[in-house]
Amino acid sequence: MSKLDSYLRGILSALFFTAVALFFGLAYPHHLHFQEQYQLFEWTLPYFRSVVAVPGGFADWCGRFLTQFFLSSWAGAFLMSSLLVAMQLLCWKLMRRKSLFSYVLSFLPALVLFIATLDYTMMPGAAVALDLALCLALPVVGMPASGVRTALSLAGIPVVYMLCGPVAVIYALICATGEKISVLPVSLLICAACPLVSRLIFHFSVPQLLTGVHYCRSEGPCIIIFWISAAVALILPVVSLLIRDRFKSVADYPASAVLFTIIAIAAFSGVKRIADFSHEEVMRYDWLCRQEKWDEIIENQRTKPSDKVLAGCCLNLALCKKGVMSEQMFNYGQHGVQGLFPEFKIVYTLPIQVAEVFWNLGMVSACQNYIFEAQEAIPDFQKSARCYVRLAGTNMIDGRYEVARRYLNSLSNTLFYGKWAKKMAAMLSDEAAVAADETIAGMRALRLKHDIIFDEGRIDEILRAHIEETPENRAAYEYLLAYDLLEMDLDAFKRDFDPGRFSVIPKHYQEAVLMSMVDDGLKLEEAPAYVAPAMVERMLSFIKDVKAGKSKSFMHKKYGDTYWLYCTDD
Amino acid sequence: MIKRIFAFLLVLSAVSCTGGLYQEYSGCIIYPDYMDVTVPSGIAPLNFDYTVPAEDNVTTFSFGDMQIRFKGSAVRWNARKWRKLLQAAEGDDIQVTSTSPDTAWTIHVSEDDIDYGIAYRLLEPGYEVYSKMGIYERELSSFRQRAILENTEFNGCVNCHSVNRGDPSALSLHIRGDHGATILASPGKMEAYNTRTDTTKGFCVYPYWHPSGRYIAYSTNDTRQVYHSKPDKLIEVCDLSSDVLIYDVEANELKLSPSVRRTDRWETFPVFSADGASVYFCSSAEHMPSDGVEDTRYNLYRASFDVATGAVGDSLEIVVDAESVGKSVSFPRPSYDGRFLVYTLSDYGQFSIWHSEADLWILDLRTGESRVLAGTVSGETESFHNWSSNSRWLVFSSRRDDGQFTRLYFSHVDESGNASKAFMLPQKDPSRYYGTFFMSYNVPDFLTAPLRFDNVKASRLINAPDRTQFGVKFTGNK
Repeated sequence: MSKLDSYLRGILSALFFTAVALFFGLAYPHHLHFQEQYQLFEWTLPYFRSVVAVPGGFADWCGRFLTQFFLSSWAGAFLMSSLLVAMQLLCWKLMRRKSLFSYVLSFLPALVLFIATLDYTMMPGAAVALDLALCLALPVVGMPASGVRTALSLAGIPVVYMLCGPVAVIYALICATGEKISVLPVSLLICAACPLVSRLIFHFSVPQLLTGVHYCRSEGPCIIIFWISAAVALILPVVSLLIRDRFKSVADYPASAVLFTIIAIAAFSGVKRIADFSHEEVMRYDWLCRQEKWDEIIENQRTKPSDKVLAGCCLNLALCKKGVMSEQMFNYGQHGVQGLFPEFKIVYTLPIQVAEVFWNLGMVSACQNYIFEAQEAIPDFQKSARCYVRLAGTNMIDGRYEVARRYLNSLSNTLFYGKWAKKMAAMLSDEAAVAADETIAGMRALRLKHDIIFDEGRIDEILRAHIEETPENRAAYEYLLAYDLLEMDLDAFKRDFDPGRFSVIPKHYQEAVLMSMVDDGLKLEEAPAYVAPAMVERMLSFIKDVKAGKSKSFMHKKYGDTYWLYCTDD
Repeated sequence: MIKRIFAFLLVLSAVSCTGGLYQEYSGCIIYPDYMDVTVPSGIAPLNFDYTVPAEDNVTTFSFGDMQIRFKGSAVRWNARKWRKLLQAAEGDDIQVTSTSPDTAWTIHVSEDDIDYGIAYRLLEPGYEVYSKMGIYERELSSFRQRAILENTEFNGCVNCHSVNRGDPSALSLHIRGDHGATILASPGKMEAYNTRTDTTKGFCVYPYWHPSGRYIAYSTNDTRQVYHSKPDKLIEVCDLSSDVLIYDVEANELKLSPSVRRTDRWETFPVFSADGASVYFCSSAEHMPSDGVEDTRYNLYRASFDVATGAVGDSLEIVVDAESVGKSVSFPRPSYDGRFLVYTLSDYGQFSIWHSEADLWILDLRTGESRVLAGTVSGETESFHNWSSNSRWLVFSSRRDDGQFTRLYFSHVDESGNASKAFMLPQKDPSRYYGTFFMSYNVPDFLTAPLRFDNVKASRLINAPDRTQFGVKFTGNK
């Protein structure tokens, strides 16, 4: 191959690396944060042993090791690109006959794998498993045909199975290509025996052992795409043998360019089809919430409104944290009380977000309940560093120091949460230090002291109990009034609303007061003095426009920031 | 490359050994607290750590002319030496001294044997959702634990399990979730049953075998879990109704007796007496949910049991009237020699594991007198328990470690019903193990030998849709 070919090869790989990194870094960063928050990578020998003790465990451990760095999306983007470029280079290395055309072909498995990794149930460990299996096949394939080579290729299958899982079949078949035909059935037999024997040793079902115990977080289409990627990696060396003779070096460049274009278009459409930007959007809100970037949440919703309930939940929390909930919440699309407290579901995604709301309202028990449930619902039975941080916090607030110590102990073995965990653990022996901690003291002041059975159907009653005990809990009070307003329960609003708490009555409360007067058939001119005259004027105008049957767009344009429109809008 | 891998593993092991954040125990100088305990001669080494590390400390175990010394703050036994010491000291005390702190204690080695092992469920002590869990078996003479069935093999929750007096060949095991079933395993036979019938309230839970092996007493409970909001109480598990049912294994029939299916009462936790002629169960007056869970209190009842027909007698006798003293009984367990019955006493309700005030009480079946089982008491929850096959050892779950994660303890019970100070299930590296273990031990039961249970067949049965339906037969008026 010419020097130009070498340059082109380098440029193509660099291009691929950059494109993948930019995609993850710019367009899909929260997918990486999502992966990170549903694992707890402990840098300890017992953790290592527990993960590698199942088929494919070593690759899974490596994947988890890399995933911890996804806390920084750019680090994650770099690592994902590295994994995919490594796969492309390994495929290239495994090709028997080299040409620029076959080099372009070598991108195919990595691109398919890239598409598979866009699914949020796909684990980075699966990509590691495939890379590792190809990597282990490489030296065997490079050996001259001999008894040693045959022995290595056969004996390697169970080893690769234990290290990487069922992608050992790829290793086996790649190694078998240079062997006598009689070796192939033996290889296949060993491949089939691995999961069957494993079934007797490990407590996993045969389908799991056949498709990979930890390749996917839960069942989904990504596992099929993953196996397509593995299959393409397997057949490429054979394909490269066939293609070489058809495209002599003169035709290599145009053919490669055409192939490159086709692959690029196919990859683009694959990304478009599999990438879940709707999930990415929700994860963005969740991430911003986790980082307490309240302004960004509000700005995000202002510039690019989201109709997702979870986004609305994050927005309301952000508005509350910024103290503008009672002024601005109806500037944005609302989802009823679901936008305050989305209904509990046994999934690992939603309760973690609702727990953030409970935390910020001082509902410590409910927060612990939801965060625990979210963690328990993680389909691949992993633990979550994010959840552990919260659970350590709730247990410290409630004085269960030895329970908190367990969580902190595990977190102290992590790279990015260890410092915080050690700092918190150091406080556990010193009640005065715990009590002096700003967050803990603040939460202890807010949390409910007397008992009330939690029921998500009566969160308003729980909020009332909070306010009764701790009237200064502004967030809980705003949430209670928001709850009444979103439920359109103006009687409850009138009961809960206490004008004496405010020097200037917030806009939405003024609107609600006027709305309730209209409901009760009272004259707006007799509105309480704390309602601004301009507000009364606007209400009168609103009533007039409603009666005139003004169009929806007109009403949205004129009254889109009011509670009144929320009440009358379909 | 090999050097690099070696260096990497070295770093990994070094990091893993740093520790330093494990539990702080204020009550005892060693963890687990093995001071002045009574142990069987067949127990695994009682490894422990001093809670305040002192590298120059010397711990000496002495019996007769045998002396074994350990330097430092971690005592880790060689299994052979430990066994030799225990065998020599059987029926006597081993003297233990430490230099820093300067103190001494004894370990009494009982002449009463303990069974081969225990079976238990491991799961996170959570709310409603469950992660990885399973039924496990632990050999008591070593640290060996074996998974019997894990929910990684199917989508569901591994629930109530029960063997008959430690017999490892017969097992009743309930699975909840999408693949709900009750697995009954006996020698050469395993079947998945649907225990829910048109005439009963729901699935059969809380199994207890009749000594003959022909019957299993179950209860069927409409259970709810609710969550508290105050700091010192997390979860409440309560029933909205429950009945006691007797299952005839040979006839595949639930025998329904009116005396234990009353509409005005909730009956639960049935167990057979040692001779199989009676049934003990807990019973509470029916309560409306609006009455609040704190008003539900259970008494312990006894009724006759007809082994020929599987019928529970109509005449019910209150054995422990807990309600009258504002308490509630759960988990009755008669000793297999018929002398005693140990139960859990808490302030209210029937799911005592979430009640920090719950303690174990012992009822002398000859005199009818109850008293707290002193050797087992701590300031935290003591709850589920079972007897060894010789009725000399009690295994029970306790949350004394931290109030949340349930651990297993053993206590020797002598002929008079006095319990020795309980000792924690030994582990190879107990501080690290218990300090980092996020699962609770649940429903412990003794095993006289390793469980003979084919998990591959069981998970195949669980994953398959077919279930054998429990039959129903009324043994009295409907």
